[in-house]
Amino acid sequence: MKPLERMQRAAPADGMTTMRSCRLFIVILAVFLAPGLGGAHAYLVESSPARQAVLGEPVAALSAAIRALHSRGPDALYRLLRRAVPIVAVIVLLFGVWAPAEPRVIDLPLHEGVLPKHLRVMRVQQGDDVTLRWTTNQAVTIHLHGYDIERRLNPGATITMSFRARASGRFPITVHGPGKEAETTLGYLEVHPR
Amino acid sequence: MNGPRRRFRGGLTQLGVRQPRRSSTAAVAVGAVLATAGRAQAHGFGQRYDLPVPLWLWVTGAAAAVVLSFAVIGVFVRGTPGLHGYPRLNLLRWPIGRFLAHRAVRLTVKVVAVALLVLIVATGLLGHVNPTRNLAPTAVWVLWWVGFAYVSALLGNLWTLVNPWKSLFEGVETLFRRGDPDDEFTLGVPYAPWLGAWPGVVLFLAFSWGELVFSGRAFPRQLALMIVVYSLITWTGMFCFGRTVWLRHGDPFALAFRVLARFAPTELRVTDPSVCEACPVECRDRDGECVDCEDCFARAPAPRREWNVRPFGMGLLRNEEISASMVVFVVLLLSTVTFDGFTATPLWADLESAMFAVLPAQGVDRLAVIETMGLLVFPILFLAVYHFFAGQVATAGGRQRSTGAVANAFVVSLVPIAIAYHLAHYFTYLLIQGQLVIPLASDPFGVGWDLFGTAASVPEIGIVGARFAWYTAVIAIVLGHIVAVYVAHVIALRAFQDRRRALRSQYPMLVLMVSYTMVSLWIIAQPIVETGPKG
Repeated sequence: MKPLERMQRAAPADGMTTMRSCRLFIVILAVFLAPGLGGAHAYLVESSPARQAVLGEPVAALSAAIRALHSRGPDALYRLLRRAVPIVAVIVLLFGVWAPAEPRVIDLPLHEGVLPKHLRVMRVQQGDDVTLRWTTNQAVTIHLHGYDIERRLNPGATITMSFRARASGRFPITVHGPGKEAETTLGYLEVHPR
Repeated sequence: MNGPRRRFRGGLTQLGVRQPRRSSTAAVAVGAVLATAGRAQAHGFGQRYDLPVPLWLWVTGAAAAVVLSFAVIGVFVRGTPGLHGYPRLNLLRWPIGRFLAHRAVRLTVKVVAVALLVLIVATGLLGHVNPTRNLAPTAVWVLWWVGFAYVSALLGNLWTLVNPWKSLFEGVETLFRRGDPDDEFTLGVPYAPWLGAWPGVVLFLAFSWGELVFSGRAFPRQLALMIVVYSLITWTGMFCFGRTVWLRHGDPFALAFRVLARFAPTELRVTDPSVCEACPVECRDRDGECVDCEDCFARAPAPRREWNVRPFGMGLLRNEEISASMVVFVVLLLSTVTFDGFTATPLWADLESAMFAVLPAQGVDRLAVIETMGLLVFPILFLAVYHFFAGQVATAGGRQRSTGAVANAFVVSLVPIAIAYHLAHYFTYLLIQGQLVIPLASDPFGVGWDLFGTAASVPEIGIVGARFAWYTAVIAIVLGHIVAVYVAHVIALRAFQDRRRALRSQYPMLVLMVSYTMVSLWIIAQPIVETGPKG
């Protein structure tokens, strides 16, 4: 397989994966950065100048700047921010873990018992309601492994496989048609965890 | 994707996964099964549904392996934990331990194991020809070969207790015994020292070929024949050289499980070295300790026996003499485990297609030829790389020891990496494909029985989520790597008297281990493909 082809195969079939990785990034930020920033802020505002001096001139300058900001602005805003951080973190966390199940419909035109290249890896999220809509130009039997769904396809008819993607994994879809000596792998259904 | 001949890795399993009693679809699939003659899956039998480990986790695991390696070095800069013995806890001090080690319990286990062997051979020879409607393929490839590696590495060397071939031979021995209870039923052919573990190496290679290449591996009849042939070889070996000698040098599975069980948290120990005088093999290590010699354990008086719990990996620290043939055996074991995973990667699929196009089309099964070549090239490559690094270690250690001696001394330190990879690689496979035994237990011959009312049960594919499987896999591989680095350091301190030299000798070893761990991580980060050559 050519390198380009492999890249295409590895690329997500839709924008879901990118969105998910962004979400994951935000969660990591919220979990690790928020307490860290809070702690640093508290240190700069509340610890004694003598202790800050140990860390050097820039830290002392930063501390002075933050204190100046506090003395000028309303303290209520600061308190609100401090309370908001954990609340926002919890909301972000929930958003990261929970995502609504989506109906996913994928059209799969089979030609001479082969799928187009970009459809050989289908990606869905766990919990999605998946509908695979098959069409073909020759009579074959296809089998989705794992979920164990088998359908007979005939030219001119659209046959669907509908199921909820309850289990994550990478499941082969195979075909056995007339005159073929073996099963061949059409492609894979990848069910990614949320 | 129009190949001259496509392999279908999952064709066999689908039958078991499907409702077992749907005869119309089963007929189609049986046809497919027979047509492709089992060119179905890399390892013996069954299908894996693992999602590849995502890139960020791969990178995290790799980084953790590197960073933690240096943390281990830091520990050794200060002291030498583990060089002089390790903590042990004798289970025989408690009634529950004494009960589990009791003669009657052991005898029961042996009888059950022999009965299972007979059942498996019987189902193989007489049962349904469809691999998923017959107990034999699942029992042998999933439960025994994959499952027992887990048991050996995580519990202890139970194979020496369970081994039904050994039990049957012992039974015959009891019948023919005259007087002396130590009498073995044997021709007493002296086992030449130069033979070492070579018979085990040859037989293990043959077995690996049967597991990874042989087209009939998943089919009950062929599988039963493989078992029969193995039985004949084993009993002939035992009869010629003596049971204990053969199991210690020639039997591939006794050797393999013994190597894996050195990592395990239990050991059998005889505290009185004089017991070992009567042992047919030299079972004591360089420190004069007798560990995991079941013969001596059986012979020793009760107060001299210990059944110990020990920390994981400590058995690898024992100061045992390792021969060059044993090095080859261990490397062969490691390389076949890696080769198995490698054959499911896209890279291998590409290699295979490239070679398929080059080979002449007539006369031979080209895929089998390519896989056989791979199976032979992999251990040779592993050995060459290992010897290169052993040379580097010897040089860095100040040439106090030859490359060969270094290779012998350090080979067991690679075992934890292989075990961790094996655990990671087969985790979901064992949990999902292992469930096939539930319907098969009710209908082992595939003739429509329903002994326990479970014949219609279908494996639950969602038993573990992908994320759980990923974390388990990466954590196992990183932990295995740390244990390996630790073991290698202890061995180095023993091999090179001078601490500075010992530590310096470990930098080449570290490079080797990090690379080996990266290969393991890389394989589990690859999508599993089952493509044959592309036309």
